[in-house]
Amino acid sequence: MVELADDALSDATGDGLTFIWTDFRMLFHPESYFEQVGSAGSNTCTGTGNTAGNFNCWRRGDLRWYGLNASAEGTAVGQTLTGGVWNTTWTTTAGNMTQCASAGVAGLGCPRGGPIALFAAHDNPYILRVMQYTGDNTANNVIGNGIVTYQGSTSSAAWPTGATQTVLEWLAPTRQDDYRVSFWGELEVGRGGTGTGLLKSQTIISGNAAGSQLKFWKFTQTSTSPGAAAPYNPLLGAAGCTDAGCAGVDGAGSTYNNRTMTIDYTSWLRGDFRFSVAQTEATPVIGVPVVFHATEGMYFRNSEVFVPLSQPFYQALNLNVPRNTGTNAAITDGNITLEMPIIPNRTAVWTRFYSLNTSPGTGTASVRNAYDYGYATARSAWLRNVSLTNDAINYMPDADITTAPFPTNYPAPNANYAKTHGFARWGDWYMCTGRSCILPLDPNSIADADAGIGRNSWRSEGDGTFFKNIASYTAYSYRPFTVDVANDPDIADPVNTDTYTIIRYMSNIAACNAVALTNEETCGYGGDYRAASDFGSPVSSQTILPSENFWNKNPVGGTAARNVVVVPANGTLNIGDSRLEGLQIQYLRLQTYGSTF
Amino acid sequence: MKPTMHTLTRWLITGLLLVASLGAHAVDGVGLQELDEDEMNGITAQQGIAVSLEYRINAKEDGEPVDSSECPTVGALTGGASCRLALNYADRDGMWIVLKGYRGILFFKNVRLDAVSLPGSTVHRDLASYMGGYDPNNKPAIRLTSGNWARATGAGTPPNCEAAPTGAACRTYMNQPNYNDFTLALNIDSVSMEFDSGGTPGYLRNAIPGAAVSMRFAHGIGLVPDPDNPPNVKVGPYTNDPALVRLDGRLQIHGFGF
Repeated sequence: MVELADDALSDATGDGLTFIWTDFRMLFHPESYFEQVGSAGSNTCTGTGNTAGNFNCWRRGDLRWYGLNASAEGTAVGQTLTGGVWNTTWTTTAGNMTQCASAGVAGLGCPRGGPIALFAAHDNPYILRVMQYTGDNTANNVIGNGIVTYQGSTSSAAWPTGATQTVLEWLAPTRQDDYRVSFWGELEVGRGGTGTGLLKSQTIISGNAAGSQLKFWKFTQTSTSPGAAAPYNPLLGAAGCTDAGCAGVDGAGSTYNNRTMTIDYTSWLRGDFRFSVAQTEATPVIGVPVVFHATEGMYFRNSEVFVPLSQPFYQALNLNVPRNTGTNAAITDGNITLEMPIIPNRTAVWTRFYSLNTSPGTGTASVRNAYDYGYATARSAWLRNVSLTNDAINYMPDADITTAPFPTNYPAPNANYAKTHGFARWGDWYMCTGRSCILPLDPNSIADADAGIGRNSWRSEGDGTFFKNIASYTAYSYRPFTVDVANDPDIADPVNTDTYTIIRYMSNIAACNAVALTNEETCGYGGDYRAASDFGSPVSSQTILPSENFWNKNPVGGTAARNVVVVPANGTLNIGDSRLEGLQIQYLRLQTYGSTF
Repeated sequence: MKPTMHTLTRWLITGLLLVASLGAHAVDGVGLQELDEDEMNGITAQQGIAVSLEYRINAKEDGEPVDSSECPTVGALTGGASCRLALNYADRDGMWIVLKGYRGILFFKNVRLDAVSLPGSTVHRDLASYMGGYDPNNKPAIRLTSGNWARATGAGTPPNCEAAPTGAACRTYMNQPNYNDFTLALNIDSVSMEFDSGGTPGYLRNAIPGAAVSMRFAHGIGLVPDPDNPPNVKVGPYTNDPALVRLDGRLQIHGFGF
């Protein structure tokens, strides 16, 4: 207990409030739920199976999520208890929670853990504050600090002249302990009708949301453009405003104003994810949690997803109603939309949205004003994110390696690039280790691969996307190759010869020359799993449609005997790592349809 | 360019939200008791104060909706239909998001309130965080302690498990379900847009019979009336009982500035 003196309180100037959560845990009772209720629709289904009464019709659906939990991944730091008793799961035998210790892969078999020691530390807390963000007076074609209005103003003057606005912010810590979020799902189908059913599921997520942001401000789209001579069509521009759409949103003659409350959300999540449906009970009952198998399910490990769903002050989520495409008149059917208006065709806006480099590398100098300008910028950003040295060089064309140093060829994009471009990564995506990635000179061992070191083995559960089933089954992969678009003679590019990267993935190592590009026809394109010595056991041979029919340039037709992996009961099938980079959303609309029916 | 700071005195975006709440049986401060000064003196100088907060909207204590007679007839809204909440946003003239059949309960039990000094050593400090170079060490903060942590403090055996929760008795105590730190019920029969028409504001209309979405927080199973097939009963989670939640830990609130 500490007394708050006047001078101590005066330290708090009101620039922001911090929220510090320690030993935090929130557990909904396993039988408490959030429910999205359906209703009996029109044109309801009257039959089941392959019958007319089951086509082109609707069934009521009710969704419930039980036992929402936010707790530690396991035993909380500083709260060590013997036996891992913080980890619990539901059991119907005692009507209570029971221990499950560290069951499952990486503890993902246990839905609930102990208190989160530092959900938000005192020196890196959640923050509620108000900020005033402003444009920096840069010219239309200069990215600057990225702040611009929908009308294209980058001025530091206040609205409506310029791009200065007040923003209410709720900010997650930039560092926080990993924690576990879990819930049980229940999908009830067809209540009161035919074809009723019930599907139970369990979702467990371990990770954190550091860096996520939620902001509220006032959107800047109006029918009159401050500083502009006339209203403007976001798609066609003033000059191209010749069709009916020009009378619509933001077009000539429009009186459409969109100065409404806007929801600015940046999601940044990282961690492990498991979704499972296999239960250990025979008959699920509505409203009663069930016990799930400890390992079955679909996993994403080492995931990181960054999705910026708005940009100050030209892109954000707005509540609206459905509107007529031509006239922009409101459709009064009772439905609601959550919409990010389209990026307007204004240089000041799209320059900042795309954040293109002003000078891509010398080896790709001609790209600067080309159609693939954005690709060159994204590649530069990605290479610099990877490394400035060996790994990056594997993805650079020869000309760039020999004629100028890396920073010249691949200048770092403007810092605004990282604000406007999202990404999604599943697994660590082990980089290739040889020039053009033809052959890893020192392939990682099976043991390493199993452990998630280097490329994933098919049975690795340390990394990437994988599945675990209760019963045994066989698996075969038609593995596609990644092609160098510019170097492919079938897709001629007269300007950017040798611009792009060749990335190939090996399957049939023994038949492959490690460095000769000319072997690409037979080297590394699809193919079957090899013997146990390469992939661990077991494998078996089955007659299937060979991969050559699908992906190779030399289709052989017919069927062939191919090695397939025999995934044992409770075993793992890993399909590898993947990435999406340079993610942008130009337009998004979520619309309800429920009130129509 | 660094954004300029702004003070909390302007921390709401103005002019954006207009709320119309009709026939509101609105907020009941049930269970709150007045404390005179003598009582306050006796409490605040010790271990802080403990409060419980109950917040009800259009609902009875057990989560059931209030009687329809308590939602007065307003225009065409009869039979309890006036118990609703409507929202109207800037530049959405004449368009109302109407939450029909809107009721709920929020009940926090036994939240302890006191003041503390923040820790004096660095834990997760990150100069790239939003606090920048501000040093929060040893700064004063308001502390809210909830649930089992509020009861299990100190060291040793229950209820003193906070500092050294290693004993079997504390393990058992802390691991008990205890889903009673706060309860939450929320029911919205339907959410849909309603539009101004002929001088009648949208929030007084029922032109849209369907629901864009419906939702609720609730708890439990049991034999309850089947709303789709009255007067039948069925087993299912169709009660109005509030959801039960266990909430552990401490929340410290601190104001910072550069």
